[in-house]
Amino acid sequence: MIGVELRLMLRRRRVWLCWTLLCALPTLVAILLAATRLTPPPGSGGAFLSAVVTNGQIFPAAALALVLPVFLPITVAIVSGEAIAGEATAGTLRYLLVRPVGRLRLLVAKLISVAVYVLLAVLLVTVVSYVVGVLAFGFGPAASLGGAGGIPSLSGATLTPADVALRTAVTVGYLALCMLALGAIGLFFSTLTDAPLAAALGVLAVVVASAALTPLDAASAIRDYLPTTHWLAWIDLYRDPILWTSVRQGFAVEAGFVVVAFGAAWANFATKDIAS
Amino acid sequence: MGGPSRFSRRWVLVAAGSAALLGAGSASGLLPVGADVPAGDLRARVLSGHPPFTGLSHSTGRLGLPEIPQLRSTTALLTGTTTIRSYRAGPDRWRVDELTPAGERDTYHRDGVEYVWDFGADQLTTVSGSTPVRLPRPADLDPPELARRLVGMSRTDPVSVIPGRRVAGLAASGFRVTPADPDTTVARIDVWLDPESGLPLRVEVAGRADPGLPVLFTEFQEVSLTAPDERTLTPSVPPGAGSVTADAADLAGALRQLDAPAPPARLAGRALVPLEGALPGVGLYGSGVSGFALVPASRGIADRVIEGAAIAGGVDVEVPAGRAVRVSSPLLTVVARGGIRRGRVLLVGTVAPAVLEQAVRELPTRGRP
Repeated sequence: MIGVELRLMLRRRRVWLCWTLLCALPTLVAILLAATRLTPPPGSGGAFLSAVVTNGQIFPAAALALVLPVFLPITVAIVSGEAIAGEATAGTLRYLLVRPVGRLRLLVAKLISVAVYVLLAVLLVTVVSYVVGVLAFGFGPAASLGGAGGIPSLSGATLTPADVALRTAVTVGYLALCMLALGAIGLFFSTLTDAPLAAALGVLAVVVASAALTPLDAASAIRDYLPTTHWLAWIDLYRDPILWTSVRQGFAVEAGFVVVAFGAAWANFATKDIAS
Repeated sequence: MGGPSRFSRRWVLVAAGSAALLGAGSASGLLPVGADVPAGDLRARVLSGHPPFTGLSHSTGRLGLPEIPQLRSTTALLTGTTTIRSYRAGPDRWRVDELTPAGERDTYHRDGVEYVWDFGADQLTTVSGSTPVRLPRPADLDPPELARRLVGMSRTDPVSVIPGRRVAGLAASGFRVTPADPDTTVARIDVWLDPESGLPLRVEVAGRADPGLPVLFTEFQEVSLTAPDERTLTPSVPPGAGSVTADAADLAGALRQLDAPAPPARLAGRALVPLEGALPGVGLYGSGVSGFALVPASRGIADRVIEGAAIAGGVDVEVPAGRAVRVSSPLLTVVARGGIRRGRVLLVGTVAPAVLEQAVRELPTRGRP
């Protein structure tokens, strides 16, 4: 069942289109920066963007910060919103459930499919932007000075390639979890409607509402429990020493969203009348 | 029957799971808080030591000051939330980082020399020397530093015990300082500290306009009572980054260029506080939390404050020459005088508006409009 879902996901043209667009935005930004050398002033623009021209190895972090607020959530909303509602729209959900396939098993397979999608999306952006960054901006001064090709941390200390690899791996995993939380919400919405677009828009409504509440002082009591509050916590992985506080909180909250949203999807889907 | 029953059981299970997760997230509220300890003892503990620690704190200011581009980093400390990571081994060996979503600005203090690493500028600045008066900075706002500073300024004011609370996983005991001077804007300074180590964990300051609402508060999110290691306290410059040196006395040079007159011996009934290595034209008046500072200002800064005063609810002050405005926030009062060559000044303090209005009227009107 899981293998079938994964093959289906990988065969979908829109999935590949989403991945391509996700990689295209940072690539375009790299080309523009390399051509003009006009970086945002320090402290403004996306995180790390002002530093990438001096070291292309920082570009994956800048690229992730670029796609995280809008592009990545949109693609996750599209893919997760389609999970159950897409089957209903295509008229295949009823036939799928006629086979000896449990509804919980189907939901688990759909969630794993979304998880693989988000993991590959974050991984692809990271790998492509590393290659593009190094091609456009080089390995940075550490390489030319005989260094080991590390990157500067936000705190000034140089991170060795092993450090960078480890921190990047944790970043990829963390962002994949953040997006999986969104994907689980999308899966739940997908069980509520037969229209994939409605489910996707529901996910985007959650993102917009959460982003609107986050800066409000009046919302401070619930801020830590909003899905977007901890999205940028991964930046703390590039400090020296690493600041784990926000990453730890973010991990707990996002994992909580996965559990609760998947539970809600199961509670709704298990007894839902399937008419199409 | 079976269908609806299964339906409700599943939703009850999901609701119970959600409640359990939320409960786990806020379980710290059920843990014990600090016991009541005599307030005088707690004040003495705050003032007596510098226990080493490493911690992450958030400082929030709600002072509603006007936007001044030249002083943006300073006003931001008093009008927004600042995330601060502190490593303090002792009073002369520390590092304090101001963390932002896009970088960080770290200040290292080692054996009388300061180093400032700015990720955005990709530069380490070595600052030698010091000045008796300077602008506030993030290192002043972590709970231990702010507590020591404020409690030190109000040593003779009455103190009382307030209920303990839980801060950063520690049971904290609290005390309140109530400034006695009728001219101060400060209604109360509340400090919660770890009674064993004496480390302040949370500080709240409220103004007399609304004593129930803290307008400046700083609190540890996480703290460890262990000394930071040597490597953490050593600044480094990554390959390719800039490294420059600066002298704190450069500020005196910049002020000298304004050619401001010497500060008067008395202003608004308060005597000038003698300072070692005083800066040209700068004066401190009064004491404790009912003092204020007189600082010469460039035309750009004075004009900007005067222009921005209207947005911040400022009012004009009648002065013998030039133009002056007053901006009052719940804690801080600012008066700016412009329109006089060599006489543009800022008066800033935690004193009642009438005090600074009187002070600006008493200032000499040297120069010409």
